[in-house]
Amino acid sequence: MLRLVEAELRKLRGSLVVLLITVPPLLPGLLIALALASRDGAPQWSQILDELTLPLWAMFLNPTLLATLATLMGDVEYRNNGWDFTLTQPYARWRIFLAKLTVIVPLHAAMTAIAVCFAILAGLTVGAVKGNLPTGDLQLQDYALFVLRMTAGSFCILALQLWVALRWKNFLLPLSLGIAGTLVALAVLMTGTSDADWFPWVVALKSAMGEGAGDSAWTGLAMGGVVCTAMLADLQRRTFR
Amino acid sequence: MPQSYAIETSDLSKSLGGSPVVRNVALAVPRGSVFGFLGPNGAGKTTVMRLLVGLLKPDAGSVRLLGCDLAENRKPLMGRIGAFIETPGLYEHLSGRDNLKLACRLRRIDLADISRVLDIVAMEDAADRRVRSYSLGMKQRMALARALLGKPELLLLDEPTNGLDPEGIMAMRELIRDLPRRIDATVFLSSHLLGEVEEVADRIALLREGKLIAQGTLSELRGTSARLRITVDRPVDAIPMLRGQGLDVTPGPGADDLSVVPGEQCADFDPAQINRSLVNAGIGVRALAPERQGLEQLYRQTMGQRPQLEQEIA
Repeated sequence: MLRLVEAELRKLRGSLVVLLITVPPLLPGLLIALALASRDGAPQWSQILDELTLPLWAMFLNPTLLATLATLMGDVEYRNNGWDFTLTQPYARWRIFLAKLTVIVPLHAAMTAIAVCFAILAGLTVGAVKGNLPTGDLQLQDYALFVLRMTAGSFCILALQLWVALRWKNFLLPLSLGIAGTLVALAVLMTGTSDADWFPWVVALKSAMGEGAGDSAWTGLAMGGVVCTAMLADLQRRTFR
Repeated sequence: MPQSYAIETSDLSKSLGGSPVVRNVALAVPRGSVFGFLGPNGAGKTTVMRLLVGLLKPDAGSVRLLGCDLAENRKPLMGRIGAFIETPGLYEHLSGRDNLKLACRLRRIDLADISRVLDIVAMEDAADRRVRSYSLGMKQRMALARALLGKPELLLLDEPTNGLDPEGIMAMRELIRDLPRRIDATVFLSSHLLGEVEEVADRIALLREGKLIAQGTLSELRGTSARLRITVDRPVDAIPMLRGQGLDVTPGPGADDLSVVPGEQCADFDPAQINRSLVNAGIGVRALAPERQGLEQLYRQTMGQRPQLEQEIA
């Protein structure tokens, strides 16, 4: 299994996935830098992180970047006609797909961590330049927990997105799924209904913050486990071209 | 001792989209042979190849590779074969060498083997360039190098010259011709290019519309269709006389040439007897020889004339 995971990581070297993991997560930090540069007075860490970075990440960037990440993972095989090579290796098929999932989970966690870290760095850098360092407690363990909750809460979306991206060659399908899921989650958030708490994109969103964040994270993890099992069962029977 | 086969299929059948693509194919590829798998485009060659490596599951029939049943031993078998199916399938954002390293890691092959296979395909100089900068011929050669990693016991090559320019075809053909000398493996080569197979294969199988039409050594297959070329001084008299003996006679390439094959009524096709009867009838025989049948003629004879094929041969 380790060899398969290593091989999947090797496949990503020099691909657009590397760019996706490192550049878009910088966006919240850049917005913070711009906002701080154009205002007077020292901001609070809670304003920088809890009111800007985390909501921006959880509502927009997390689901859309997840969709893009999964799409690119599938595209690595489809664009290069790599399935014939990958599936003729001496491994059980389900292990090959599990390896892809094993790689994408930490990549997603890394994106979330980069977003939070760069937001903190932006706050410190601009604050130091302007002589207005952010005030208040910077509870790093809370943000580390946020990264973990987002990773767990988004596991179901991730498995769904990867399933669609690997199953169909057309990259528009996983992207459309991601955009649709994001929009539905936002609509649910705006209406304040609890009827759609099971919806994977809502689960991911709710695992970011609020009282039930921990429960939502566990829910996302459990639902992801079910989707992951279904994905492996389906993909190992499928013919890939 | 029973014959040992590298590939053995029985009643292999597969339908795609409701249409039968492979019908009751029974291949027997002896170990150590270079086996040419011939058929026109759309005959089902690639589907058979995909069935042989487990990329497709057969609707009926079975596949045995290297003496083991594929369905039961797919995982260990995949470690003993090298395959290049239809397209190079290299990761184009990686270098050629990185593609080979990737395969080595997956198959637990020593990285030192990379130099050996790069040497075989003469790609050492370009190995560190990204694959996307390669020409199609280079990609094909690098894909062949990847299939050769780990000294596979069975090498499956599906249309390795497909899409190449004439120069690339020649280079790849030379490479394949040289393979038996350089690697100790059974080579199963599918192609619609007759010359390619004729030059390298010691056994062939012909596939048409998913059905196996013939298989065996070239001489065995030639033997199934005896043909004489006779040059006479009076062809106008010779033709009705020979036809009277139950022979099928058609004019040959030269004005006095006749091409003679046994007809349905012909009990004994003996060149000496034919010569005697012509001489006895006062017809001068200038030459009489078995017509050399290349694979091309055999292919045409077995498959029928195909205009598209003629262009491909040209």
